[in-house]
Amino acid sequence: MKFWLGLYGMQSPRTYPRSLAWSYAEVVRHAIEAERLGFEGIGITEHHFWYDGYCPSVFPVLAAIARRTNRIELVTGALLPLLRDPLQIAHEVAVIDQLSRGRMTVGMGYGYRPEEFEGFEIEMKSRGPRFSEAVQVMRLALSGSPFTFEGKHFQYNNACLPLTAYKGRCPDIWLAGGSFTATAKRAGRLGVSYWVPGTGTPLELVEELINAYREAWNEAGHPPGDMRFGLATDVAIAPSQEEAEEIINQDVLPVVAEQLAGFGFIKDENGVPVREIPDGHPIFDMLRSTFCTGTPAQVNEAVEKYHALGCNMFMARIVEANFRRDRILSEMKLFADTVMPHFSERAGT
Amino acid sequence: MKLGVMIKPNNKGLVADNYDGMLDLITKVEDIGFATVWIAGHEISLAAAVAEVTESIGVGIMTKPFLVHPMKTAEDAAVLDLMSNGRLLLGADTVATSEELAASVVKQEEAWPRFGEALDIITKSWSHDGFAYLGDHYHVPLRTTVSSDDGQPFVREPSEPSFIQPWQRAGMPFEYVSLQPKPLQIPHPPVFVSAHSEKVARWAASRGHSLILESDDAASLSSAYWEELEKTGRRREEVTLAVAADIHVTEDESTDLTYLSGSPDKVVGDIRKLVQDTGVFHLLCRLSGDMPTQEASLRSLYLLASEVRPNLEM
Repeated sequence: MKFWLGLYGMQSPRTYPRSLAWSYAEVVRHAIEAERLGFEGIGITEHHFWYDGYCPSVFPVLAAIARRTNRIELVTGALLPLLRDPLQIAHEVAVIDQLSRGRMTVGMGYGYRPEEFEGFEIEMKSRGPRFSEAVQVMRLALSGSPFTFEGKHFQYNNACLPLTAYKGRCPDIWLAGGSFTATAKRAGRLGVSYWVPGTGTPLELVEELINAYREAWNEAGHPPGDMRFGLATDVAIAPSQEEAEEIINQDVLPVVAEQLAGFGFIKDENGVPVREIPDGHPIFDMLRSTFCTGTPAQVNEAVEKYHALGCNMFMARIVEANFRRDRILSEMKLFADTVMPHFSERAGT
Repeated sequence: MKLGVMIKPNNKGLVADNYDGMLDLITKVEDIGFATVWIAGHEISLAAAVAEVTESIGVGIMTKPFLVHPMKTAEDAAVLDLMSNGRLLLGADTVATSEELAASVVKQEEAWPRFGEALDIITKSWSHDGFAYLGDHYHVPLRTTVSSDDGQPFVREPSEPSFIQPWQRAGMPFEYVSLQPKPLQIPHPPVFVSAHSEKVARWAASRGHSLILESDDAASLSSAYWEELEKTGRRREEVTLAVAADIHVTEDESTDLTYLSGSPDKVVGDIRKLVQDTGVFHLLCRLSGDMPTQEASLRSLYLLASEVRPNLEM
């Protein structure tokens, strides 16, 4: 099982305002440190029009990291291809892949906030089918030859990117997110890798999603040896359980809860969005139950549950928007020292 | 006189090596005192890489705002401005190649009307909070029911009814969009319109944008630009007129044949003439990102910075 670090959004939330210019410089320093510690990938995430400055543009950030690192995979997680033209995205992917000499990994999601679609004048319907076409277009475009594509949603006639990907083929694509079995199945059918958003997804549902993905992969006849899936979830690791609790309470929950409410995920019994979540709301316990948190031994135990499901990748979301630099760096080191070796030694199992 | 370079990235052959060579060249260009470096394409990631490997040089990017949704260009530019610590220069070109148009849903005849609206959306979104834009080609947000009192396409979010915090708007109609994050430069990063016609030059002046011209038609277009700028009550100090040209400075006087080519003295004379004709304040040397030509290019740039520029102070 390989470990990625994520997901940096360069936010300045009301609970911890900061300089965004500083955050963009900081993420590059964190990437250098993550590479040194043995993380195999670093993930940058996007949202749009969110008040705290949530990063809307992942490629420039990956370009800067590409210049300062040598080995670490550069992961978009999740890029939202339906907000744009897939050929333009393929172009940006190729540029980063060249800048980094083949280290690009494309994690993409459907997107779910109506505001993001409407801000770009795009209808939200048919996201699944459009996502499938976007994947096909990107694969064709990044194969390096001119192509014609007659889709229901996207059409290109003899189009060609001005440059190719570093290895002359499309970098790995992951379907990132999606807590519905239909989405997991789509990933399997498309033959792309798949990661489950672990935050807020109970273990039983994670297993169900992975099974749906596996089944669809096999039904589609893709080579079983090429299948890759994993999980991205919040990690709070500290020498003691009390310190880990403090990280959860101060750094993670305020922003996660605010985003869940602000994005319209939390509704009352009448279906009306809850706009300020009261203390003691059940969502807090639900979220907590899905975090990998505590002492190194406790985090090992939590990660082991996903390892046992056969995950090939674990994205440690040590970075929540509310981060304190000293805490993240010490968590990264503790995780790299005490959790990663335990699973890396059993690589390929 | 400010000096800059305009580099066309080489996307053929060993692209990774080309990019490395280009970035290496750019750090040297910064060291010898150039004020700006421009990527002559829409590869925003290359501009980000330039910002990462340099400290103080202005970082320009030549976008085609009608090919990408203007909110996306505005976002990309804001992130680049934050990453470069406020060094971004946004170039905007009105001309697309046939390949670019083929890969886009935009038709040739729509390019110009979309250009004006797109650039207005970009600059407004940088310096305003919630707004709606009700143009002929862009209607942002998609389902806004906002109407305009004065017939103008740009509509600000009103202060009545009282403001609702953005994190408390779940499920509410999305009437006004707010670009996040905002760029670092205030009121916004400089915009340079690349003009190939009088119409475009006049439009840029009417908006108070700076201008990039090609050396061959710079004289006529610049006079239209300055005239229009005065008409709209703006001062010349508010903007920059840049001219992009092929400039070659050598120590060999036998090359004094073509315009802006030759010995330092010859090029000083040519540039003085260009300044008289156009009022140019920023000279952009066009370079290709080809590796074999870089050493000669660097020598020419060095002579331009050390032997030509000191004789151009005005």
